[in-house]
Amino acid sequence: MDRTPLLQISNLHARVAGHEILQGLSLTVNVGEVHAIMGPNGSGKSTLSQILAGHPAYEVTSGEVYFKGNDLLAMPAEERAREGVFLAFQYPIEIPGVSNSYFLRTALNEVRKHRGQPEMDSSAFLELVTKRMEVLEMDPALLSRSLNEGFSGGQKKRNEILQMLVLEPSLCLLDETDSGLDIDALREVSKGVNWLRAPERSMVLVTHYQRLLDYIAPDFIHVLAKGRIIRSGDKTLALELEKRGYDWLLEEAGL
Amino acid sequence: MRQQPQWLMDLRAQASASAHSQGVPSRKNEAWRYTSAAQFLLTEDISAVGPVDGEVPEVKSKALDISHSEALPAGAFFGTFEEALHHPQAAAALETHLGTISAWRAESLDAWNLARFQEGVLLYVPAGTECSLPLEVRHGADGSSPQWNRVLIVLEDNARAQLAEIHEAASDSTPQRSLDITEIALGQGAKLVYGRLGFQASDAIAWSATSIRQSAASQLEAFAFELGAGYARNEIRVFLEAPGAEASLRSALRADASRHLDMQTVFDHKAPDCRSQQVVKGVFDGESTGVFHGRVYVQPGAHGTKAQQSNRNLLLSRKAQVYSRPQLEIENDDVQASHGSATGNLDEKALFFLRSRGFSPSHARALLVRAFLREITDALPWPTLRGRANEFFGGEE
Repeated sequence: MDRTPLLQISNLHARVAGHEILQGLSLTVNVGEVHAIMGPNGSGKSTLSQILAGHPAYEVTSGEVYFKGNDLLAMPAEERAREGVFLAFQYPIEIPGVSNSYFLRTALNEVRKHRGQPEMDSSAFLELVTKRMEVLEMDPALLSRSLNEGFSGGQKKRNEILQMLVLEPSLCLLDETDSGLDIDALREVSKGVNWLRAPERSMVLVTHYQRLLDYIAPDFIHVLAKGRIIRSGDKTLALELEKRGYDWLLEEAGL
Repeated sequence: MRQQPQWLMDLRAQASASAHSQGVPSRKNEAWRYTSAAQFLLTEDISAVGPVDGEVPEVKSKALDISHSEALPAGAFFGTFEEALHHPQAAAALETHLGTISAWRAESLDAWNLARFQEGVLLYVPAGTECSLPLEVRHGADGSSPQWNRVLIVLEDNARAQLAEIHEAASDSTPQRSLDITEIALGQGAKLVYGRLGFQASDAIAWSATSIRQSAASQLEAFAFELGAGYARNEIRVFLEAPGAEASLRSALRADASRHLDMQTVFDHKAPDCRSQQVVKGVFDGESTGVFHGRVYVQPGAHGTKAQQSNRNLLLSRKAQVYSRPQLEIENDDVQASHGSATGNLDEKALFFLRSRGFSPSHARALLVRAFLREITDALPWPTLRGRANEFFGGEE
């Protein structure tokens, strides 16, 4: 595996609404690696993904984040997206009045423009998106509807993954993508994620449950508690967590 | 119109007397609390009208431009009032309806227009016939100011038509001021799709009132857009006078800088089993001001009324403001009525989501504004005009 770092987080401290959520988080993700970040509720998992995507409500008080060697924290959210950072949201929002296909094509063309590629016309786009929808076994009718409007929970999560498959980012952040999914939806969403797994692409899966990791095998697992990583290991760590919970780790860390 | 018929001269003399006695509405008048009538009606207009029993202004041509008259069915008429006087049925329709729908005895600016209007256009569609193509009346084409235009639409029983009044920016840079009246009479079972579409420049000052009288089972589908003007007030007054009449209004307002847009609606349910539905949406940026006052009256005999009213506003800046006043007055128990008003900011979550997918903040904002107004603009049945409306929202798609 390539040992070129894609994402380097060092000693990250961040707060939202006055609360210090991240307290010295460090993590390096190399090109091609899949990392899972697990941890109890309130440990800062979602905060980390929001900060990496550039949410303005979170304030980084110290620490550094480099992406492809560039200062990620200095970039506005849209530039991060164009550079290849993608966050699959835990709670995908509905935007009535914006069609799914227009949204997706515009997002793709923003990325393509940034890469110096020509914009994709609507017929080429339609061909591409139809193929990607087949991977996720998505109903093509969802394309002409308003973004996520009236979609079921599973359809919304699949729609997030569809965006990821179309945009082909170099860093995929999945924020509790498994939450609220039944077993069939989980299988299809995982199929999409695995389809995109490639030597040139890295992934960070944020999850509360081991369940997702039955379908997407990570290279590394990290346990996040009180805003920093208290244990890292390979996928056997997930099985241990499944059996023993988080408390023993928290005790060991003196938390 | 050199030779105005006696009935018209008499009517205008009465209107002139009424206008002078009503004067210019002041801010103390509840209906004019947030918008200044003196912006529309200047002192010089009043003095220009002359004495109460004196001269009646001539009607000139070309301030109003009409199109698609070739689409008319046999017996129909679409042209200026002057031309209408030479067409027997059109002349009769003019005499029967002019000044009978707009409440000029109670509304000062209506009276001023009737006394003062310089040009009028009549659409007359005889019973059971249909205009196959949408018709257009273009205001402001000649750049003259102030404009006192008047439109009368008469659809006899079971007639059908579509008409858009388009308020254009002046071709030169003359600031425009206009005070326009439209009256619409719908016969039994008649159906009209009507638009009052404001595409003016930011120095335009525009007041208009459209009054509609509906007979049994007639249908009105109305659109009112005010997208460019600097200071504007539009009034839509619908009188549902006989059973089974239906009216809908979709309205879109968009303002930035220090613009001021006021939308006033009246839906008066006077007969049983009528329906009305109105959705007014506004987008306000900069230091602009929005005003909405919507009134739904359900008269004692109007059983089985269904009335819905909704006003929603988007404020894009801290200095923009909206005064929204939805109002229902119901005089009987057998009614289904609802009203609602909501004013808020762009959804921050949606904004961040779009940015996280590579949209610039300005593009994301424009897209969300468009999305907010789509319910209104997408329903406009005329593609070219829909496209023009979308241009005001940085429209793509």
